[in-house]
Amino acid sequence: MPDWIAHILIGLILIEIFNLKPKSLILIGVLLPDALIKIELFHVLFPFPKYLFMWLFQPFHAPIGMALFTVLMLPFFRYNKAKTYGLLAVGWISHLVFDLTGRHLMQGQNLFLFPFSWTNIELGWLWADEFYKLDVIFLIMLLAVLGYKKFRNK
Amino acid sequence: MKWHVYLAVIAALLFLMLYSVTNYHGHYPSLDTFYNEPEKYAGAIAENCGMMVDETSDGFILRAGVNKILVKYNQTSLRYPVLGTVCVLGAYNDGFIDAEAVRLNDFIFVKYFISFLAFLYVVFVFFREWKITKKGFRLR
Repeated sequence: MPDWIAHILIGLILIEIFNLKPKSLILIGVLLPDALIKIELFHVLFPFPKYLFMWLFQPFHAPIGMALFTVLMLPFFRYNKAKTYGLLAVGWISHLVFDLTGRHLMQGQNLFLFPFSWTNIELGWLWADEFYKLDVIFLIMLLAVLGYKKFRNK
Repeated sequence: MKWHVYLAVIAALLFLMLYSVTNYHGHYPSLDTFYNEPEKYAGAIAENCGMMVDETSDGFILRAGVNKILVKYNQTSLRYPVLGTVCVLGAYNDGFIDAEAVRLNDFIFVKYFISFLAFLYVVFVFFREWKITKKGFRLR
């Protein structure tokens, strides 16, 4: 699955194409699905109950969990609630969609239909260690969009 | 939004978390699953990712979470991952995993590091647009 640079680049591309503001809401949304589930990564540093935390927070890496969690974020923003929800949702939807590019030996984290199905859905294009490929592709796309907008505004 | 809506959302999330953590063993058995119920999951095929902590004559020792296990994998090309982790697909047996496939995630720690830098960028952009007040975040 893509790294956070790739996810943020996708968010920035969406922001530029659709002129979305405030852009930080999109960027927060983009990282939201990984915010809790990545606690499991402490296992690379020391013995850590990774499976417990991975599965405890798995619902937050699924549409239903994100749709609910976004509601809980609304009171923290003194801003239009519908717009706040919409922008955060655009961010996390893009995250979940581009995580579909991931490839695993068997088990990924894209349980789109959780809790109704435990099937992991993915296109199987890129292994976890091939993250740099999407970074380069999305960076070129972002530069192309920025270049086009600059050219059009001249 | 009324307080009881937030309460319902919190309850739903807690239910989903509880459902997930109590039911994953049947769908995606892990090393924890095997150590808890070795007889029930003997022969079950699963994927486990973690740190390769030692090499042995017939494979290597995998640390995934809090547990360590011997992975039997006879490939002459086997080596330690470079700045990364290892993922193993294989069947659980009594005290070891009989690996069908092994994937070395070289340089995945670099991915984690640059992802942390990306997180710092988001924090920077966020506080450039928002300020904290007693009632929450307000646009600057």
